[in-house]
Amino acid sequence: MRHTRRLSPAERLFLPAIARGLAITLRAIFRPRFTRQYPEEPIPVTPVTRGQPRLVQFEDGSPACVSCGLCEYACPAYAITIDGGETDRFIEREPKRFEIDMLRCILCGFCEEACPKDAIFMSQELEMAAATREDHILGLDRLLRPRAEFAERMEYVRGIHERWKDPSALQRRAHERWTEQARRKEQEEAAGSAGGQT
Amino acid sequence: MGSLIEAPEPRNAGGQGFFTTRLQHLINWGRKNSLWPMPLGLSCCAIEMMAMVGPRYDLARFGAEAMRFTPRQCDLMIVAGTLTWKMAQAARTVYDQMPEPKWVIAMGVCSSSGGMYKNYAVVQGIDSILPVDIYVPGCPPRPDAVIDALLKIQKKIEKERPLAR
Repeated sequence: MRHTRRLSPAERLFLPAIARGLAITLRAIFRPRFTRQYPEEPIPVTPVTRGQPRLVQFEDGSPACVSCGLCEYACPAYAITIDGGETDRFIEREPKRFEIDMLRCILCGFCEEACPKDAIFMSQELEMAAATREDHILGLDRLLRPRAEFAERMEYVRGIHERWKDPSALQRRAHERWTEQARRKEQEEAAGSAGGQT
Repeated sequence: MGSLIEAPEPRNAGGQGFFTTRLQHLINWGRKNSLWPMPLGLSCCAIEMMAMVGPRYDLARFGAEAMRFTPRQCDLMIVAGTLTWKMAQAARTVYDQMPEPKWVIAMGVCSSSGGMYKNYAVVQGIDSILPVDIYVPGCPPRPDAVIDALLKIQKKIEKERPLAR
């Protein structure tokens, strides 16, 4: 028994099929361009972007970090190494050595959440490919950034923390949304059945 | 940047003649603009690698879109993902099967240093079994970050001296 169909002469020419294929290509030419020209058009970044972590530096050039070690403890990849030391400033402690191994860092943002002093934040620096592993171990000299750079990110992180202050508010809001949806659905159904009768 | 990228210019290097240096430039130009990657996609970084070849990021702009699934036709190995010791032998075999000249990108933290898998099952950095040209941090790195690495590899190729002995 034959399971295939003999092609008609028009189909055996394959010209209609080729024309159809070319038509699709032709239409694609006039479609708006989708590709982002990367090196010229940089990555769009928002405060939500989690780039590599960076340290906050005050205007007088001192780090905001007090080397408490909470980020070191929170880091799931053991990327952070801190050696604390004493300082004459009011906070009395500051890091003598603060190293983040960017080849360990998985950009999870736990350090940022753990920090009690607003001293470490996720920056928007992402393209950091380099040829040796030593180039990726960043010390204090390459981590510190002026505080002004983190203004947007700080606001965003504070927003996250606000959300968790009152967990019952979250539940309440979800419940309200659910009841509102259910009510609207009921109304629509009622309207639909009424339309069917008339 | 590492010392590898900032190697001296090949121009008139080593007392070579005009023809040799021009030919070298031509060879380097051809090599850097037709890198054929070997996609060694081992885990989630591979998804990002696929996005990189797709229309949004379009690796074809740099002549590196021809992903070949046989190492014999490739000259750029992209190790994307967690390399376990069980897989390490296969990765090394794939590398050995690639013809010279060849380059390696360690994409993502897992392949670069083991990343968050600091344990006995995972290779702590593929540089213990392969020579790596460039490390891309990120978990996974954005396609842009890998394109950045590719551009750096191209810069490195420009400074190579294929005719020097």
